[in-house]
Amino acid sequence: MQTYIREDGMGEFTLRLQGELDHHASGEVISALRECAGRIPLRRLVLDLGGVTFSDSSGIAVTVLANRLVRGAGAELCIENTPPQMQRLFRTAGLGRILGEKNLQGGRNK
Amino acid sequence: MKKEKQNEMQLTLDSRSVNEGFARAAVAAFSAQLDPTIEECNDIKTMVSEAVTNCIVHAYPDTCGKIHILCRIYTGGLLEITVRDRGIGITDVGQAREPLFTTGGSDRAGMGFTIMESFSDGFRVTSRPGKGTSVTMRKLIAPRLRGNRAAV
Repeated sequence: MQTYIREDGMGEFTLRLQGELDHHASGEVISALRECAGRIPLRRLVLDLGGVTFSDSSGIAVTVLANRLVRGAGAELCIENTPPQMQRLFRTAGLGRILGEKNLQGGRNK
Repeated sequence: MKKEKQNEMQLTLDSRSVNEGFARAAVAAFSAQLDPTIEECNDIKTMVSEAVTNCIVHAYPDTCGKIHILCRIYTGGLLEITVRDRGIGITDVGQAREPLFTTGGSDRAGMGFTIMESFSDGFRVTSRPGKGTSVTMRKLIAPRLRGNRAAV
């Protein structure tokens, strides 16, 4: 799993994940999330899942943690390019209520 | 009608997280002879990943133990996967199967059993504290129109 952080200079950070997201990879993703959530000012975190080629329930845990950290910092979480396999996982976990239906359906697509 | 076994594969792994990807890829490769769709293949990989991760995180929390995977293909496109460990076992299987229940940290969702159950066509857990846990999952691979199925 590779993680890439991009900053727009106005408080929006994009965390792009590339590869397979499982328990083995989740530590690196959580570190990247904590790094983003600790940035000041943080207005919005975009979690770009477009490069995730496989995810198990570690993807659910990571997304729920991202939501908690970003909202705790008073910022907004945007999820984009969610692959169909992750959408199925999110629906099974009932994440629509937490993340919002737009984020569940693949989120923002550039 | 009784299902007849057509093929079998066994795999034993150390309970190291780096083996999660190998375990799901190996089972997916074995199941490829049933010509699953991409969605069915993803379901199989997810189920295996959850079961193997449970062994690593929960069965052997402080030690490295062995994870045994047994895959069998039966007539009619039925894939049966058993993931077994000799770890600490589960005291209350009913509680462990509840959605969001976890004894892990913030990197665990507590959704492993729920996903295994939702993505499979049959799911069974047996466990004895101090002896280990066995999870058996079944997945029925729907026949494809072109019907090119080597093992059936």
